[in-house]
Amino acid sequence: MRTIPALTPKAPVVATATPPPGLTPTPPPRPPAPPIPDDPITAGVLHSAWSGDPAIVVPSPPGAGKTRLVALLAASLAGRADLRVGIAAQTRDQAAEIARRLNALDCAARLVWSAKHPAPDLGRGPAMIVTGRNVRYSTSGGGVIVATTARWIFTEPGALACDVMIVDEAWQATYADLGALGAFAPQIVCVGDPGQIDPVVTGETRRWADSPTGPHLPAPAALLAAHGDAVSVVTLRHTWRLGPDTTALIQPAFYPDLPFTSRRPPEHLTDADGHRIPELTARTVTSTAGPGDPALTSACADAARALLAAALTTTDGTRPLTPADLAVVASHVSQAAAVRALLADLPDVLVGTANQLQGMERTAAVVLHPLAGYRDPNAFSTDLGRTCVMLSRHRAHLTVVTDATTPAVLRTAEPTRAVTAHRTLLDALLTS
Amino acid sequence: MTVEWFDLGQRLYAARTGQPVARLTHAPVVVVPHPVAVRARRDGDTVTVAATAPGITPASASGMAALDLLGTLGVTLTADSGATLVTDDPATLPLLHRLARTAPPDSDQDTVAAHIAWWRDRADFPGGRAVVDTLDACRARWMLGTAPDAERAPVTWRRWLGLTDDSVTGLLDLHDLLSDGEPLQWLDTLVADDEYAYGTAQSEHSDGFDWRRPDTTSRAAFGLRSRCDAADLLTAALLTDPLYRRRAVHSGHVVTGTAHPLRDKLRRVEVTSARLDARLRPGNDVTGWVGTPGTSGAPFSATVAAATVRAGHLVLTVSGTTGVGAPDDGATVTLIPAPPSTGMQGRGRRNYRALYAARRSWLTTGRTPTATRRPVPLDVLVAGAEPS
Repeated sequence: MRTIPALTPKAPVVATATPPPGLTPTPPPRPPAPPIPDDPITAGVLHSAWSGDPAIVVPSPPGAGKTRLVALLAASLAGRADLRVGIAAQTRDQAAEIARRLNALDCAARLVWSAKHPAPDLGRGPAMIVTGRNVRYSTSGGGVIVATTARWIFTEPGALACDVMIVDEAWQATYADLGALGAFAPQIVCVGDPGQIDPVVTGETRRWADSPTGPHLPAPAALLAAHGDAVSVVTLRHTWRLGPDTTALIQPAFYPDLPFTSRRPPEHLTDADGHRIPELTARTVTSTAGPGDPALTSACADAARALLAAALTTTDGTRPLTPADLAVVASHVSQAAAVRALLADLPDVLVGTANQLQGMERTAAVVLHPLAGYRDPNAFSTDLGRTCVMLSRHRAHLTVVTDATTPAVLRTAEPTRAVTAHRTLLDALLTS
Repeated sequence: MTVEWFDLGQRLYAARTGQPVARLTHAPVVVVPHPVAVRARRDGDTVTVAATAPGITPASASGMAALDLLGTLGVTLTADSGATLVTDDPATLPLLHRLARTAPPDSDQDTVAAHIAWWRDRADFPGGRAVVDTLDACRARWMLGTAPDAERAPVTWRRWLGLTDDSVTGLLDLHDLLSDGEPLQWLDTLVADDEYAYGTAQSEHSDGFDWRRPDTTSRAAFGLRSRCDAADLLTAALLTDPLYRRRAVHSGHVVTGTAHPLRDKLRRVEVTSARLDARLRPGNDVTGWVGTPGTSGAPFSATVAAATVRAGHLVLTVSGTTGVGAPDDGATVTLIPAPPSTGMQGRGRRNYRALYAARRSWLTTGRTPTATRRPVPLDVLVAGAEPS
C-alpha cells in the first residue's frame, strides 16, 4: 500500500502544459473544464488518477465531502484530461445526487436511468438522463457516465469501456462487484466510508470466512489485502458535518485507523429558554416488550417534537428548527414505521432505518439505540457499522433514546469487540 | 401482533396438542433419487463416519476406510448423478471435508473426496438437493411445543415426529417425512442448478481441477453471485406458501389491506393496511391478488409508487397494475415482493461470467497491476504532489 502524504495548500496554478501525446491534439469544443480542485486532498487524488495509478482508495469519515470529491474528480478527468470516466454508485439516489453535482460543475455527464422509475431532477445544466441506445460515451473527447453498480454489471464492457472507474460508497460494494467493474476500466478509484454498514449479501459466505480477499467483503478492504502494494491511499481527515463532541465519540470507536477531526463551522441548538442544548444527549426509557415496544418509538417521536421547540444558531444567525431539519433513525423497519406513523403530521421529518439513511444528513437527529428492547445482544443489534451510521447523521445535535436495561445487558454479554465498543459508547452517551 | 407473539402462539398450541404445528403447506425438501445418510464424529485426529443408503445396512468406518465406505454407497464423482447428503449434525460436513483433504490425488478415494468437495460447495445453496440438513428443514417445516433451544437437538424432532430409530437409517425416515407432499415452488429450479453443478464438477475433475486450492478471484465472485441468486429465489419460494405468508404478515414481508383503484392512466391502486410495519418501499415491484395471505388468486403485478400514513393506517400506492387479478374497490388484497426472474438471474450470472472472462483487467484476472503513466500538466502536478 502506498499512502500519499498529507499535502499543503496548493501552489499557484501554472498554465497547463502541452497535451499529452496520444490524445487528440485539437479536441472538439466542449464546456469549460473545472478548475484544479482547491483543496490539497482532492488535488492529490486527481494527480494520482491522472498520472495513471491503477488503484486509488480514498477512506473517508462521515461528512467529509465524498460526493463532492467524486464529482470534482470525474469532471476534471473528463474535462481536462479527456478521459472517459465511469462512476458506479450503490443506489439510484446516490447516482442521481452525483449527477446533480456534476451538472452543477457544468459537466455534461450522462446518468443511466431506467424508464421504470421516475426520472430525477438534475437541475439546469448540461448533464442528461440517458436510456437504451443513448447509454454511450460521446465519440470524441472525455465524458462521464453515472450508473449504479448493478446497472454497470448488466452492461457490455466493450460498449462502455472507460479509462477510470470511480466507485462511490465503495465500502458498500463487494469485492466481487469491484472485480466485475474492473472489466470496464484499467484504473479504479474507490471512495467511501470504512466505518459504515458492510455490503448487503444475501447468499452464504462461509466458504470464504477466513479469506481477507473474500468476494463478499467491502471492496476496498479486499482490494488492499489482495494488491496492497499497488494501491494508493489518500485519506480524508476532516469532517464538515460532525461537531467536536460527536467526533470525539465516534472516531475512536469506529475509525481506529482513520484519525480525523471536526472542521464543522460553529453550529448549535438552544432551547426555548435560550439555553444551549448539548451536541449529544441521551434519554433513557424503561422498555419491557422487546425492540418493538411502543414505549421506545413513542419516546423517539416525543424527542423529535421536543426538538422542534429549539432554535438553530449558525454563523449566519439564529432561526427556529423546522421538521425538515430533523431525522429519526432506528434499526428496524417496524420501528421506523411506527415512528413515522406517530409523526404523520410532520411529513418533512426524515424517518428511516440506518440502511435507508446512510449517506444522508440533517441538522438534528433522534436515534433509537440499536440495543433498545434487547435482553440478549445479537449480531444485528451490536453491528458497529449500523451504529456508526445512526450516530453520524446529524450536524448540530443528537438525542439517543436508550433502554434503561441496556447497560446491564452489555455488562453480562460476552466481551466481543462489538460489545466492548458498545459499552464505551453507551457510557460516554449516558455521561455526556 | 409481532412475529414473536405469532411464534409463541404456535409454540403454545403445539405444546397443548402435543403435535408439531405446520409452518409450511409445502415440502421444503424434494424427493431425491439417491440419499445417503451420514454422521461423522472426530476423536483426536481420527474421523469416523456412520453411513447408509436406502436398503443398505448402516456401517461405520474411520480414515480412508470411511471414504471407501462412502464410495460403496455411491458417493463418487464417477456416478451418473450426485448423491444427496442427509445429516442432522452441522459438524458432519466439515469433518467429511477434513477427511477428504487427506485423500491423495489420483488415489482410489480421490473421486469420493471430490464428491465431498461438491457437497461442501453446494451446501451453501439453500433448497437444492446436494445436501439436506434435516434440522434446518425441520425448523422450516414445523414448530414444536418446546423451548426454542430444544429444536436444535435431533432427539427432540425424533420424539415429536414419532421416529424411534436414532441410527443413520432413521435419518432417511426423517428425510422421507420432510419431503412428503408438494414441494415449494422453484425448488425444481434450485435442484436443476445442483445437477448442473454436479456435471461441471465431474468435468473439472476429469480435467484435473484441484478442488483443494483456494478459489480464484473470478470463481469466488461467480460463486457468491450464484449463492445470492439461490438465496433470493428460496426467499421468494417461501412467500408462495400460504402458511408461511400468514406468519410473514407479522414480520412486514407481506401486506394485506383494502384496495381502492384510482382509475387513472397510471393504473394506480391504493392499498390501505392496518399494519404500519410493511417492508415494501417505493420502487419495489410487487405481486398481488384479491384475497387474504392464506389464499391464492389470479395475480397482478405493480410497482410501489408511494407509502404514506393516513389516519393511523399505512397507504401503499401501487402503480402500473397489470394482470388479470387487478382488484375492485373495497376488495381485500395481499401484496408480496415480486419474485426474482430466474431468466434475469441467469442473464446476470452470464454477464458476470463474461465480465470476469474479459481478461482485460487486472481485477478480473487477479494479477497485481502495473501503472501505465500519463503525462500530467504542471498545475495538476504542483497542486497534487507537494508534500507537507
